[in-house]
Amino acid sequence: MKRYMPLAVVIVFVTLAAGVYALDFTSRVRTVDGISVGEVVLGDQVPIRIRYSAGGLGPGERAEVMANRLSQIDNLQPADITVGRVGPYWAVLARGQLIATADPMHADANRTSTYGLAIQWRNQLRTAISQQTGSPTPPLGAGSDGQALYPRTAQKVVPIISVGSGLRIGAAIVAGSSQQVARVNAVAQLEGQLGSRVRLRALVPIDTENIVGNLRRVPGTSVIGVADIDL
Amino acid sequence: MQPKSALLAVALVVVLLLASYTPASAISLEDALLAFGIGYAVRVFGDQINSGLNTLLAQQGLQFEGTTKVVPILSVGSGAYIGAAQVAGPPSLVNQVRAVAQGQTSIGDLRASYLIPVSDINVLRGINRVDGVGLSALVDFRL
Repeated sequence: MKRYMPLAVVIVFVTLAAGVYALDFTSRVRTVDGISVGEVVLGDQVPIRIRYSAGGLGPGERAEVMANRLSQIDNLQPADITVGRVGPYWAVLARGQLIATADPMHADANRTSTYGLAIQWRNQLRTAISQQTGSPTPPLGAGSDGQALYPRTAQKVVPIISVGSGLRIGAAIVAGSSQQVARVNAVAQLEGQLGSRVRLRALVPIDTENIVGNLRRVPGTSVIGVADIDL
Repeated sequence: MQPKSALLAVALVVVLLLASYTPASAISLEDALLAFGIGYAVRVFGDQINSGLNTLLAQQGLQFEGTTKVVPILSVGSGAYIGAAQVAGPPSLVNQVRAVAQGQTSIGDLRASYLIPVSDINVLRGINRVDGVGLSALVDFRL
């Protein structure tokens, strides 16, 4: 029995080594046009490039945090990289863990929305992982989280509630991704005045009809029509 | 051409030139609205109205995460300027929006208006919708 012990240990070790691995994500700082830029690197690919600071971290530090988070996940596959909401922001996730928050500054710099930026980073990460592991990238249009690249859209009619009086003063048609539209329960109307001849009516899709509490905008939805009833 | 018609034509040209060259600081929003109409007022004071709307939203913590812009609302039936709207979305798409086209339909006592961000102000020629841009606010003018 003792004679076979070393062999058993080797077999177990080889099995574990073959089954569990982590990709070697690294980060680096480069100077581009006189600006310090942080890069997340995998092999010869740079899936994420960070130009702006956030949360008290500089571009290089942000890239390092992202690379560390990715390196800690075993057996990472392209389909593990998804897009989801973290608080008020769109973010890139790996098996549900936060990797990178798509901030408005980078979205503006890339001429897209924060959602569009998260999708862009997700796709670049998937491509880089695919090249390292040989695993295919999921087809465009669907992620492993079931989130479509172009989400299914929906429309819905909800009451317009005046923030000043709390009265229902009409109805609005809201549109957006099916998931987000389902959360909309009303449109809050905030009123303002510019001079004596201009009346402002901001229309905000919200997730509650109780406008006394905190109003929360439902992101990714907007009003596409209004309806009045002649009384 | 009759002298009266010629005089009217000259007066019209002067008004149009004034409308084109009067600096925004020299004329108030109310005056611009009354003298030159909604289209001119929105073109010159759009940024000011947009800023007012964003302040209104920020006071409630409901500011939009993205770019906003104020454009005129055009009636699909007549092509006339009938108001203004704030549109919101990604900068590259919002920049394409020139107006919001408003169409109306009635079902019994219910009157519904569809508001479509468009890239061409000539809505009589057709509707060139800008996808991915939403409506964030309406602006009513009292003429």
